[in-house]
Amino acid sequence: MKKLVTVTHQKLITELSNKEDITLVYPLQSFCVGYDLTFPITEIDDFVLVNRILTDGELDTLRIILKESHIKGILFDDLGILEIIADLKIEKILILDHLLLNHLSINYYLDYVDSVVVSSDLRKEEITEIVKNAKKKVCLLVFDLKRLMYSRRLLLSNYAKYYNLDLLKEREATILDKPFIIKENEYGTIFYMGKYYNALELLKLDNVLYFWYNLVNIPSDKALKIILENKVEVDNNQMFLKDKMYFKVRGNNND
Amino acid sequence: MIELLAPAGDLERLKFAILYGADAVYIGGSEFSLRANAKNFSLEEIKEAVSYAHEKQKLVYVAVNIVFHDEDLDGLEDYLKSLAEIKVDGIIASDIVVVKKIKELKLDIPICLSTQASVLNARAVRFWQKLGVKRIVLAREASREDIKRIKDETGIEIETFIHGAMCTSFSGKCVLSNYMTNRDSNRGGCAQVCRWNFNLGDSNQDFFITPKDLNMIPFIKDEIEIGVNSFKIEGRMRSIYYIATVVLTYRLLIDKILNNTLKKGEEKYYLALLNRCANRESTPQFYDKLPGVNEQYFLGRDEVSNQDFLGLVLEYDEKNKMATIEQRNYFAVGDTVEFFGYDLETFSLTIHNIYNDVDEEIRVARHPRMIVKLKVDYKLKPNYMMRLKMFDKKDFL
Repeated sequence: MKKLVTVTHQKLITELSNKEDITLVYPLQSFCVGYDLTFPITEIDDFVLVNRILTDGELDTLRIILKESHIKGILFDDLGILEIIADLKIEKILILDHLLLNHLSINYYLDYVDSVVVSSDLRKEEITEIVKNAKKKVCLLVFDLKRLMYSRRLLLSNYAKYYNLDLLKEREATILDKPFIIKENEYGTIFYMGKYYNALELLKLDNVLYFWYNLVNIPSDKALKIILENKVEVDNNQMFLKDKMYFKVRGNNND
Repeated sequence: MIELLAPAGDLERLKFAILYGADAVYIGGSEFSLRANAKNFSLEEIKEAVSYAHEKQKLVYVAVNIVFHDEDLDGLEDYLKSLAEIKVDGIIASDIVVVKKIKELKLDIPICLSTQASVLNARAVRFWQKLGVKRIVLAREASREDIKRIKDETGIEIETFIHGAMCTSFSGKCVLSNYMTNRDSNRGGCAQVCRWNFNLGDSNQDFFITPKDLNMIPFIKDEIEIGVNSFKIEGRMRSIYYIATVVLTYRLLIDKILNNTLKKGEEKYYLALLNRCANRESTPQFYDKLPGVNEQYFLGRDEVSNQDFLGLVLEYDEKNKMATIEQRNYFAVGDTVEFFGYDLETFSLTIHNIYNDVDEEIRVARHPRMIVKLKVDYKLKPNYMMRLKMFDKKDFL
């Protein structure tokens, strides 16, 4: 079983870098939103994470950075990155957050990359079917501070400015007692689900290239227990994994 | 050719959009479209809409822009084939499965990539171009510089939003609705959680993240110059009054820019008109800067109910100079109103007499959709509209 672990603490590097089944994923400085800890490319010798939507000017910079790097793989969200990594001999994994929801689309994208991260917006049954029908091995998030919304706006800065408050780059919020964690950097704002997404039961599935642990805001000792022992000591839920989402695409036209 | 593209939630709205100057409309089918709560069109109605629009040399694009789960894939191929048979002028897609299916089935339908795909760079555009995408609706976060570079490097047809509601998130990158309400935002069920108030716990102030609406009045000329092909108005669920006002305003502005007849101050007048028919404030948002404090709300949604739309002209008796009006909001003798229409120079008048449907004189028109008659010296046509007069064009010139 191969695992991807986002480096959210320096301690994870020292504790996990020699583990054969673990690949470390480093959020790349200036190219990620939603992470407190990011790394310059010179400090990365494993996988790199680029989770922003990028402009051409930013892709120009990223192309140069990646060309001179020693990375072994990349997880990325913006399809524009495909062009700048075309000649790099690295493992390419597409995230496309919230948009990889059916096996046909996933198989189409698999023509361009080594693997994709199946969306964690799906129920377990849906994920299982996709894993079964994917033409290459896919990646699954198994423990995550789930990203609910990604805005280019600086929502915490705007709030602080409007009310003349000290700026905090991270806040906890609620609506109707449902918790959120909000993080902002100069590239945008992320709203996370306040309870951790726990999909450790997916570890049983075959045809998976990597199981991804993205343990934002979890103390390193608790993070290590989740990664190494499947022992969970943080507030978590399985809402997305279990609950059916409703909408209306069929039915009475006059509704 | 610069295209003005209007929303149409149903056939009535489609007809008003075309009548008031849209070159094209976009609609959602009752299946696979992101505005599940709009009335939307059955295949039979799409056929009627296309027939009506084509008769008037206008175009119809159909949104097939949900993000598909496996359970939604049944019926997609048949649906796309039906749209091809109806000869719709384009399909708006966000999921690669729609793009690929159109090509695999060898359907002769232009593909437009939805803003839901959040494209902000030329490299991503080239990815989609290779798959056969002919036009792209860029992410609403695109700046002037982004749009220009994409156009210069790819030559793709570019469609940009110019007016209407904004998402707080990159479109497609939000499942707040799923989390709060179990309603799937990427399949048409968005509950607009970004317009709710958040509680920060340690703060006295509620935390609002609601953006003001978009308007691009000050930058239309600039967008034409950098090569934008289609100007899109948001709002498939908006009223006929909103559609008529917004479409007509941008129609006049675009034509005057193209004919080089735009007068100083006219843009401000158009902006004032648009602000009157909206229920939220509007700004240009991302085009010229990163939106800040002035581009969002902090004190709730701050929406105002608009009652400017007073009546719809049903017919006009030239001999007696009497207009028959279907009332839409309260008006009374003594009110000063304005008539506007698709081919009418807007004019105002003070109401001296109102007659009901049995020709009795009344003082007020207070009942929704009641039929009344007014003495109007100018010749009116059906589907002209009457609104409250709030300001004079000459005050802006």
